[in-house]
Amino acid sequence: MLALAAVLAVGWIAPGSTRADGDPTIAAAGDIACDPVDSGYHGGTGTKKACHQLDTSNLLMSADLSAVLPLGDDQYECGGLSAFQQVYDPTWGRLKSITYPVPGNHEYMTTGGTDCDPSQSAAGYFAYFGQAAGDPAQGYYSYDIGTWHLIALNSNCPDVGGCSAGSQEEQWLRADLAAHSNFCTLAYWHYPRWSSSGNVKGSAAFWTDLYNANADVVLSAHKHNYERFAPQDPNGNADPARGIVEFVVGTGGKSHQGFRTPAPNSQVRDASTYGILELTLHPTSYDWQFVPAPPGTFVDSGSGSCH
Amino acid sequence: MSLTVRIAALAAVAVVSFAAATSLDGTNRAAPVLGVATVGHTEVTTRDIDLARRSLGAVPRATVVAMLVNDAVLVDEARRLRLLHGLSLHALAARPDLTAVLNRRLYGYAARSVPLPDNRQVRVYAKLVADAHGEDADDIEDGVGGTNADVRDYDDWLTKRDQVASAWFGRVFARYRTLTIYLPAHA
Repeated sequence: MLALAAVLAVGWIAPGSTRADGDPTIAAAGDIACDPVDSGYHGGTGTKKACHQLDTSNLLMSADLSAVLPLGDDQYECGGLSAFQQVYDPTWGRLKSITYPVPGNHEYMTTGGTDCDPSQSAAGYFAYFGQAAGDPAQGYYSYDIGTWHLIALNSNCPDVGGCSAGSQEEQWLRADLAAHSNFCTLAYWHYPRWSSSGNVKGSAAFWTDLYNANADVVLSAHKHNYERFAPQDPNGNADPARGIVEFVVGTGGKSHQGFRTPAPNSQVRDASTYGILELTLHPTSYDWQFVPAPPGTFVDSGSGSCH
Repeated sequence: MSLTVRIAALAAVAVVSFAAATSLDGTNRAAPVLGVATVGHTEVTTRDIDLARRSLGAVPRATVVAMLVNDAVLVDEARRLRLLHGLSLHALAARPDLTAVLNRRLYGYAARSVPLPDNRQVRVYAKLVADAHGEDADDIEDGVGGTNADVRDYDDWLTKRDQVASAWFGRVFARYRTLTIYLPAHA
């Protein structure tokens, strides 16, 4: 049944396009659009410190992208449908047709914002993104971009029956990985496995499964900053040969958050720049580039090989 | 209940439903409701499929059936544990996102045995998260106001809860594999 579920989930959405002139580039960030009644929203222009969703979306518009990956908390405060339509849609929503989202904790909230869903079921998120968000009972799915396999996971664990070993989502992930032999694999979900900004939630089993399948890159958000880690094994040990590189990209526009004690293997950190992470997906490698929204100047770029 | 009896029961439901959908003058006013599968004591019908497809759009039928069977497992188990509280398979079929509500109830039940650590700040976080329904939940979850040790204790507690709940869900779905019967036409 799990194998069937994996096949079905993969077939849920159409695979992304590949640019004719080269390898595909994707862009990602989370913690994006302010609530329209947020004191910092200011009709969409934001303030010096908050609500820069328009600026980051302009970066998307100026890039030639095959896919956009919102990493959760896509629409504050509670992911209400009306809020999505008022704020996310005219900004990041301009690329909705190539968007492959995951939900954050704010999408499941019930109060504190515009048009909140009292049932705590992320109704606004699933209504806005439709089939692109996968089965609303799950919120996880996978697809291919170019030669890469991409896996969107739902890390709101209580809402999906858990994320640890034995849960439906974890079993689905294992089956999905087994069913796809792509040389390069990228997975993404909202809560980071590793962060220098305080607590992280139970995605240890995801990391283990991905590591065992030789996955390459993990993207997360939730922490409102940018952080890149050296390749790590499931226990957080540096593992240059088989480890997975994690990027935390909570820089989509909402606000910023500082760091606590740097976590082991954290290589780059910035907590003052909004922007997006662009990844160019080559057949056996990838290039990354953090692109800052003006007036930010922080950049981070490099390349990695798949294993 | 034997397989034969269960299939017969499904067929009987289908006949009764068909009859109910047919008026006395013989005019067919609505599509007949047919049984597709039984999951424990919960039946998945063509009506559920229609409801789900209305909300999901152009999703393959096999995908919809697989989703509904999964939902039926949750419904059946929640009913057994008296945690259904007004939800039904029809409701989940019409609004698949509501599955999250049922998942949370069952998750809370499954993780109830994980004790809060002996840390006053973690108890405060846990209560605030339970009560807040969103406001400032990021700060609470990030342990703002707590020490690094508080944050670690809190994270360990959440992780343990998830491990226990995940294993519980895994056992439930494994158990229901033997309690799920598809009508031959839908197998």
